[in-house]
Amino acid sequence: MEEKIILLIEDSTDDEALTLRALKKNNILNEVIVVRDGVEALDYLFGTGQYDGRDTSKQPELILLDLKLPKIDGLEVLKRLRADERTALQPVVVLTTSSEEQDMLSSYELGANSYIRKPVDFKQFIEAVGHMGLYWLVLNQGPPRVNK
Amino acid sequence: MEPAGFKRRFLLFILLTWNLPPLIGFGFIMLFGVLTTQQIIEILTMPVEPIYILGWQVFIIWFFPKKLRPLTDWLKTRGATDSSLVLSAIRQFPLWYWGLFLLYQSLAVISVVAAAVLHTDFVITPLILFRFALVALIVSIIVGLPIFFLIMDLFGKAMGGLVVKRPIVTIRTKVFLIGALIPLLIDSMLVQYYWTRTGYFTTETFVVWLMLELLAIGGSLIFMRSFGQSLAPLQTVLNHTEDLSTMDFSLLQSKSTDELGVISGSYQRLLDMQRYSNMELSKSKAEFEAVFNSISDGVIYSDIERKIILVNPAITEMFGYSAQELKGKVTAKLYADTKDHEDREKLRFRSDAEDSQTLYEMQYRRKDQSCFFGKTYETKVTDSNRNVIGLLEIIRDITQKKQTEETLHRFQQRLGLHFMQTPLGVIEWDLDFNVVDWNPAIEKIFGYSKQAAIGRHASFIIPNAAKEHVNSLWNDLIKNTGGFHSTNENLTKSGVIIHCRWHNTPLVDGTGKVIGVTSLVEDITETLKVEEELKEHQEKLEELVEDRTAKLKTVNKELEAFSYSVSHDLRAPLRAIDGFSLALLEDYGEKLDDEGRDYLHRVRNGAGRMALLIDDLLQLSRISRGRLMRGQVNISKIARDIINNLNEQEPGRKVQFDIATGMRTNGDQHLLVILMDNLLTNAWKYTRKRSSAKVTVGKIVRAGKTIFYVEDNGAGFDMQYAGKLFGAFQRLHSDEEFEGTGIGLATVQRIVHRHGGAVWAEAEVDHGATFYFSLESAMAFTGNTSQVTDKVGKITTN
Repeated sequence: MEEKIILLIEDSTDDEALTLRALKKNNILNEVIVVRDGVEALDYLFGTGQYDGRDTSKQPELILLDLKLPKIDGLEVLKRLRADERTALQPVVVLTTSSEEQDMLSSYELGANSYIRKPVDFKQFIEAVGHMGLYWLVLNQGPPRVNK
Repeated sequence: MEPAGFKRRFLLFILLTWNLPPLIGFGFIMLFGVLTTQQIIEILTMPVEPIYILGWQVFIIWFFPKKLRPLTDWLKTRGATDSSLVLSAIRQFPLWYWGLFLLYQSLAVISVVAAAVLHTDFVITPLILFRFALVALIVSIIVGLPIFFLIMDLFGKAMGGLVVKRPIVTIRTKVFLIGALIPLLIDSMLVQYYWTRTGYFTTETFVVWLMLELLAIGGSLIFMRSFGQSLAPLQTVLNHTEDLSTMDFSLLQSKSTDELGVISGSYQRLLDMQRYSNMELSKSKAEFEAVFNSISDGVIYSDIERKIILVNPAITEMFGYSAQELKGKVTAKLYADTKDHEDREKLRFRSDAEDSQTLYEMQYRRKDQSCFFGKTYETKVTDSNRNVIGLLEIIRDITQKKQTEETLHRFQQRLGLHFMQTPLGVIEWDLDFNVVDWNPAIEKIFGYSKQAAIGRHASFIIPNAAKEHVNSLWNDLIKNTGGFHSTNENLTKSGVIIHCRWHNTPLVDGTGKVIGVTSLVEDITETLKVEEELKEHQEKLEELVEDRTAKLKTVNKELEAFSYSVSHDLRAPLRAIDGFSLALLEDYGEKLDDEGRDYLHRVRNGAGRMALLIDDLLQLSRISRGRLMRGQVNISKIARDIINNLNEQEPGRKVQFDIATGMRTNGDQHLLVILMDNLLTNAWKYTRKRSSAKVTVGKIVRAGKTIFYVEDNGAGFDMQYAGKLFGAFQRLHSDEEFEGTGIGLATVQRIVHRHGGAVWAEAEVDHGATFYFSLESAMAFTGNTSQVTDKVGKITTN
């Protein structure tokens, strides 16, 4: 069985550190790839730009997506990712600070699988990440790999 | 006739009938020498004859009054008893009278003969017996006949007023009796006289006497027949007494040339005339009634005392009285003012013939006391001697006409006033488009005085450019087919062109023919100018509004972007602060002393409070944005859900909730949940220090508006700070006492304001607080505590 990769799309280093700590605290030890903005995220997923040549048949098991990103924002990334058959079925969890209804609605409309609001209280954050990891990485059966 | 007088006279006649024959009979016997005086005295002194005579006297005195009792009774009761008994008694009387009288006479002969044979030496021969019989016959005629007629006449007199339909003793009977009996009397007297003088009486004498008698009877019968013929026409009347009106009068035609013939002829003509005049009378009566009853004007016929004799149906309808109610009443009853009646009375006595007919208007009064004006035509009715015998009044109700006249008058006055006072110009035109009338307002508009304008053709106020337009209008107007409204240019006296609005109405006569035109004129030059200016201003204003709206939209967008950033960018650092503080505590906690750890806890608390503050602020800003989704909202259910939540979060708290059921209102469900959550959370929070906390949610209705309230018995607050209550970040308690962001009530107020309603509070330190809100518009009592107190008294919870 191959290792399940988690793709964390997050511009804030603080949030990155906190997210990684939360994953670690929950004993989620999967490899985490961190990208800083929407462009980089798409490059990674589609094997373009700085990730030119990456084997795109191997896609992250879980994509954690922040909405507020430099260059290309989270919703746009989600839209493009769903439009490409390689990533159309990958589980995407929106992990964001925003509690705007509009954001939540747009995310689900564009095909997000979950929407988690980052609480300020870190204890709650750890708890939330724990639940998420357990569900998406352990319980959930991912889509069958067609082009493998 | 007095019954006593009648009885006395009747008895006198009867006694005469029975007493005269013996006197006269014996007188004749002595005169004819049938018996000697000696013999007569002997007969009369013997008991047979006096007993016979006296016996009859007693009998008749008892018998006849008894037979005639019905007649005397009838007289006594003045005709009240049965008249048929009276008639039958009278009818039977002649039978009894003659029967008894002739019996008396016949027996008298026998009694005299018997007395003579028994008491004297007198020898009776058949001749002597015959002579006695003749004497009795003579006496019977001499006494019986006149007295009989006297008695019948007495009956006739006594029976005045009694209807006798059939004659009791006919004239023919009387004629026969006189015609037959008088010769018999004369002949018998002659026979007796001749016999006495000559002592000679043979069979021949007797036969001659008998022949004469038969001739007399025969002649009497012929005479009677002739008499009967004369009477025949009158006899037919007897047979038709029941229905004289239907009798054929030709039967009355005279059949004789005597007086009776003449009388019956006259009688026939009289009856004919009467019948004709009767027919004429009933005809004219019917005609009169038809006219009288069908006259739509009221007609009253009264006597000279003005007592009503006759009224027609129109009167009963006009006054509401029935004809019966009016009959015999004085006409004063019908006058509204009795003084009017008196005045009419005075006039009545001015009996000059010229005044026999008058016409006047009078106010009358109906039965229901309402009054009306009647035009009255009064005529004096006179008899053939020009004496006034009555008054005829013909009344026409002219109230309607009077009202119409008055209305017309008022209308004319009003119209005149309008014409003079209206700010609208009024022009009346004749059919040639010349001015007929010109009011003061139009003088002002065109500058021409009325004198200058009247009679001029319209062209003097029409500029050349408008002539064609106006002429076509005029042609439509006089055909009454159009041109009723127009706005066109006109020319004033000073040569200025003005704009006028015209409202034209063709004037038509009763047949619909146009006879002129009236125009109402409004000078709208100024108005048009103002309208133009207004339009310009409006355009500018619209531009301005558009501009401002655009700016506002931009600002709104910026604001949205700002709050979006706030939601993200302010929270991210907080998360870092909290997250790393916790990491520090977890990873390096043991390297710090208690104070150090406490500081880190404080850092985390600060971050937590800041996060809360940001969330509340976001909510507050979000409430102002977005559309209000109104619908039916169940306040009671929302309250119960929130309370369940609170109880779950802090299961240790014991708060008694009292929530009225079925509270509903119209509003945005989502916002009202936030509102109720804020109010109930506050109530929950501020009653924390109460041992028996109590929260009531209810509603009251005031001035038709529903007011909801949340009441607690918690910490309350000082009313002098009530004004600060709903401001953002305004707190009346310290954080140590009661934590909070100071945004909750600001949110509540904003939600209520977005619904167009009002919110206010009432409280007392340590005695709880009550928050009122209503989602219905314009609550005049916002913040008025005295009214609020009044309301609290009326709170009902169920």
